[in-house]
Formats: sequence, structure tokens, C-alpha cells
Amino acid sequence: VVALYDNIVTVIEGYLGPAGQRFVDRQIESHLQKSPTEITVSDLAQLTDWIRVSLSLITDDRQIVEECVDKLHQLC
Amino acid sequence: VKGIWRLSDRWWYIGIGVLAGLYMLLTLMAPIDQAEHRYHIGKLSLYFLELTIVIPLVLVWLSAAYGSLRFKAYATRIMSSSDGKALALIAQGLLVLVSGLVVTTILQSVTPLLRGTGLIPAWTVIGNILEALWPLAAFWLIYQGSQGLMRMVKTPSRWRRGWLMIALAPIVAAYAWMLLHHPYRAGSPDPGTIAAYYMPDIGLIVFLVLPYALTWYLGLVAALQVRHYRRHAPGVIYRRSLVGLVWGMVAVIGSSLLIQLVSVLSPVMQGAGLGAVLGLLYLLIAVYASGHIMIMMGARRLARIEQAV
Repeated sequence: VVALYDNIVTVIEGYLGPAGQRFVDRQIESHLQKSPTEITVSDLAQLTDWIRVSLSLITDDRQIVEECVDKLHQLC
Repeated sequence: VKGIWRLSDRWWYIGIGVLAGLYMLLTLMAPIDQAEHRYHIGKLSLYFLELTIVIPLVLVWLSAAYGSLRFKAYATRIMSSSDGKALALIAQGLLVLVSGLVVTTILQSVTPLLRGTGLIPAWTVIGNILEALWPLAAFWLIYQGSQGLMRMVKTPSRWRRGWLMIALAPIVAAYAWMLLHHPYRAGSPDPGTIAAYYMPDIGLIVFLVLPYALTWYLGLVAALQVRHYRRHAPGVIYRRSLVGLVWGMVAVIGSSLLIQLVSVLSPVMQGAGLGAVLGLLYLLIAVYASGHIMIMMGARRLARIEQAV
């Protein structure tokens, strides 16, 4: 479980740098109502959808958002 | 510094508003006979010219305070993280810089009103020392923050500090030479002319040349380090969000160094026409204000990352 969380954070840090972990924690806590380290593979699809929405609010670059989402899908 | 950091946004704006009013009053109360004689223009035109400098300067104070306070708000939000601590130090430095700009400008505007009181020498010495040490404290904090950011990137910088020292050395030497050859540095034979420093030569070296040299050095190193962080920080979206902040900081650091240089080189500019002096002043004010506006926009973009849920 922790390995999955770490992998998600690593992917997001590639886009949001030091803000990556804080971003992932907020997504998990507010949308999945879980503590970040409780995340499982079954939550990944829903989390990825929320991350797509949130990243689209931060950047207009669709290509980067989809690239990030693809990397998250590959964690399944 | 802690007091400046804890001051709420509201008190910053109230303070700047009150001090701006005081500054306008002091400027308009100052005797203008000498300027009238030097530039051959009427009193009314001189008052108007004074306002064309005072009003943009007050707007710069406000934009600088607004930009620095937005930056502080962002840094406070992420204070527990490694980048948060470094950015908080930079925000503290920017707030110290803004407060110094306001206080030293007001101190300067009091000087002409002290004619005939015997207080001018002491007032000038205190004003000059504060003007040199206040930015030094600000740039020390900004430099410490940039050091924190540098520790977060793995790629070493290609430039060497020794090169920067070599590049700065002729500027510092020229500044020291001009200061030590200033005709009215310690006193003036003309009772109508105020001496520039009222300090012996050793005092000029210790209290002005050394602090300014250190300030310019720290400011330039900080600007280069923040730029390096922006280029090598992880996260493509984060790096893009940093652009405004970084260039804003570079503009603020660069223009505040230029403002200091121009103010210490003012004896050289005495022969320049009014148009050239005003043009340079407006240019510096514009660059300084645009730097703070970029910081404000950059902080807003970074805050968007922290707000995205």
C-alpha cells in the first residue's frame, strides 16, 4: 500500500515538484476520504480522474495532463 | 524581522497609507529654492514634478507590499515543507526590503526641513547608515532562502562566485573612489549646501562601501541561485509556475541594486539635465514595481497548485 502511494507521489512530483506530495495527499483525503497511506489499487482509477480534473485547473497544457494520467494508469 | 513578519496585511496597508501621507507632506514642505535656481523652473512646476515622483513611488510601496504579502501568504501555507522554509526566508527578505525602502525614503525627506537646527549632520549619518544596512539585512535573508532552494536541486551551478566577485570589484572600486572624492562628503564650505555624508573617510569605507558591496554581492548570488533553482527544480508544471516569481525576484533584486548604485552615483549625475534624471528615475521605479507585480502573479500561480482539490 505504501509502495503504491510512493509511486503515485513520484509520478506527481515529476509534474508538481516539491508540491507533489501535498497535492496527492489533498486529493486522497478530500475525494477518497482516506488517509494517504491507506490507498489501494482499487482506488487508483477514481484518484486518477480527480487528479486529471485538478491538474487541468492548474495548467492549460492538455498534453502534460494526459501524459501524467497515462503514467498513473500504468501503476495498476 | 519577526515583528515585520508577524504584522498582518491590514496593518501593512494602514502603515504604508499613513507613511505615504507623511511623505507627501514632508516633500511638499521642503524648501525648493535651490532646485528652482538649478533647473530654472517655477515653484508650481517644481511642486508638480515632485508629485510625479512621489505618487509613483507611493504606488511602488503599495505594489511592493502587495507582492511581498502574497508571497508571504504562499510561503506560510507551505511552511512545513523544505521549499516552504526557503521561500519564507525570501518573503521575509522582501518585506524587510519594502519596509526599508519606506523608512529610509521618509528619513531622507526630513533632512531639508532640519536646516538651521544643527541636527542635519547626525540625521544624515543615521540616514546613510540605515540606507546601507537595511537592504543588507534584507538581501542576507533572501540569500539564505536562495541557499535553501539550492540545496533542493542536485545539478550544481556552472557559474563560480569568484567570477562574480571579479565582476563586482571594479564597480565597488569605482563607487569607493567616487565616495572618497566627493567634494562635500564630510562638510561643505557653502552654508546653504548640506554635506552628503558627514563622515570621515574610514567611516565611509566601513559604513557605506563594505555594506553596499556585500549587499550587491549577496543580491546577485541570490538572483542567480533562484534562477538556477527555477531551471533545475523537479516538476514541469511547478517550474512553469515559478517563472513569474523568479523573474519578479530578479527584477526586484536587480532594480534595487541599481537604485542604490544610482543614489550613490548622484554626484556624477549633477550635470545631467532634468529630463535625463527624471527618465532614469521613472525607469527604475517601473522596473521595481513590475518586479513586485510579477512576484504577486507568480505567488498566485503557485498558490493555485496548493489550492487545487
